[in-house]
Amino acid sequence: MRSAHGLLGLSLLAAGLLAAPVACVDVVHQQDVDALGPEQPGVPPGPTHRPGQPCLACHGGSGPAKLQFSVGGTVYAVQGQTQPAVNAAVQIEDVDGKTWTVFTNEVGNFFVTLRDFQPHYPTTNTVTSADGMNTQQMGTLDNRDGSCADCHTATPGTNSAGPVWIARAAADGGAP
Amino acid sequence: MAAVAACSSVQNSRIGVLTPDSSETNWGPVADYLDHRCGTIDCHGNPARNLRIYGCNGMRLSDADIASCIHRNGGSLTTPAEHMATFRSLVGLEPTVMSEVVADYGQHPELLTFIRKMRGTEAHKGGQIDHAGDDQDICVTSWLTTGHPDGGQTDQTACMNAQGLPVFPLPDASPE
Repeated sequence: MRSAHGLLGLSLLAAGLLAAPVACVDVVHQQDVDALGPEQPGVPPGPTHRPGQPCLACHGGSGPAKLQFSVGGTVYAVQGQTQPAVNAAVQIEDVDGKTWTVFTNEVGNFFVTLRDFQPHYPTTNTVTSADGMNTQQMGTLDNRDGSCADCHTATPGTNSAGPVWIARAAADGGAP
Repeated sequence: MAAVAACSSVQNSRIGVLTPDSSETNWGPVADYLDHRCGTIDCHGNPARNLRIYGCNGMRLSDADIASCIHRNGGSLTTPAEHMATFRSLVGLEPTVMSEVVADYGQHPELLTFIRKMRGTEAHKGGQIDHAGDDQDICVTSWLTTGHPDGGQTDQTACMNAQGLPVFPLPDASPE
């Protein structure tokens, strides 16, 4: 038979546990964020940071970024090269026929906030160079992922078509 | 001492599952439709999924291929080996239920979870993909009739039509 002191102690312990702040960590999400590595030296967090990385890893609503995107990515000027496509037009058309066009910045990054446009998936996506001379339509549907670099990783392979680009490289691998 | 039994290759042994026809004639068009609609890297073109779809629209089987169907971009079309890998993944989801559906001439495809998910009658992250009786549905359900000796053939026309879906409406060009 428990003593009154024992019961009181248990009650106090329970109350203390309930009052203590409980940290809930999504380990998988945190691993995804950690895998992106640190910021590039000299480039503060902002529109020109982390080109080529999956934007919605941090801006997708699970943190750590406060500003949430529906779509975000990086566009490169030429297939296989690292020069960004500056001021390229990225058009997203969703299955209801709604479109949103956004332009890339000086490092090729673009993003669409939740307030701007939330596409009804699937979408078809097109990128057009600033001079209008080159256009590439995405070869597949985008079925549910607004973070381009989740699929468009740095290297083409069995699970990636490689980075998003506008102009196909010349036969000798140079600029078109 | 127990005798060590020689095991034949799992790939070539019969394990008692009734399946629809896996030939390129009957299964190939279905596999290509599934690759187009469901097999992108953000969906079932991903090894993390129970249903893995292999093909040029998403996940490749061979290290020699990249995730692109477009030859001039370095891609290549879906291979028969990828068709077979998708077949095995699909049949392997619910082999017992698949056997029942095939034994019953494919009359009750809704017994299969993947059919219910496509039709939107079971929760599916990709949402409702088709409606019972449309080309997408007929493409897959006609294939389910092919396993029985007295069964049917895959509706090639439905599968061809299904590969053009969804049809994106013309963007709304009305002035604001």
